[in-house]
Amino acid sequence: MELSTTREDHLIAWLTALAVAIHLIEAALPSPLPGVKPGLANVITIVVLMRFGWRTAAWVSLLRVLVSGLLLGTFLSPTFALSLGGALCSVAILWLALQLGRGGFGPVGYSVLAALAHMTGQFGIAYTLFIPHPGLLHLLPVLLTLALLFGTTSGILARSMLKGFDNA
Amino acid sequence: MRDWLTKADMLLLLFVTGLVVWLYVAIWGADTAALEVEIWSRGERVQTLPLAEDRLLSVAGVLGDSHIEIKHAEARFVDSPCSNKLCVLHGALRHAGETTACLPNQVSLRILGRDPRYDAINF
Repeated sequence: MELSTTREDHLIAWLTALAVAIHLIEAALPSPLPGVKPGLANVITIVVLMRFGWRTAAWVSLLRVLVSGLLLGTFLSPTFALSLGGALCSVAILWLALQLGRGGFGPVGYSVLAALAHMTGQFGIAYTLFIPHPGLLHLLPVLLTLALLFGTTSGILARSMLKGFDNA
Repeated sequence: MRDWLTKADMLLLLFVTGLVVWLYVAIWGADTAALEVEIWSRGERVQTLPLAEDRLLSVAGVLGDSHIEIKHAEARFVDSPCSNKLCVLHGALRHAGETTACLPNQVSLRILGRDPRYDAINF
């Protein structure tokens, strides 16, 4: 039996591989705070979203989490739950932004939304499943500030990448 | 600038920045004012005292008397008949929800605020 693949399947596979590579490199970087990472793989999600639409972006984002989890050995661990929760939230908010924004947002807007949703989702999971302590709430504004900064940075990077495609 | 950010992006950034600032105020500025101190000994609440009145008191524990000081709206162990004096070293309690204890003597302090706050929740 031969599995027939579409052009979209190949596209998703290639882009996911790219996102996984970025995710793995980032995982090797030490982080001062657990859960705080620049989230550079987000750049790929945003570029894919702007180029190929939400469907492809959602595939790439969720497959990236799955494959990275398998490769890093965190599959089905708390880290994986946080990663998946964050990715689901950001994919959901991107869908919402596309519906409500009617194409009004640019890469920076989408990236900021995705980063904040990712952080909020992660925080929600950490709070409800792992550390239901009110003291954790004090971290939320700090984490969201970082998400805002990293989201903006990723957005600017995504824009540069898209610009590069246009010129190529 | 227009090239980098669309109008919607700018509005979003403004809104989100405002939201984060509001969160700082709402979460970090929450009322944790300490009002009273609860003193427990051998598993029972011995007394509840307002932090507004300065005083020194001794509470009988298993090993002997623990000396507790309430001063400048803070409560602390001054001395206790234990060997390691962890309760004394813990220092003064000033926020609602804070606790400290002298375990060998079975005496503990707990600061109460307006709303009772949980110190831990488990499922």
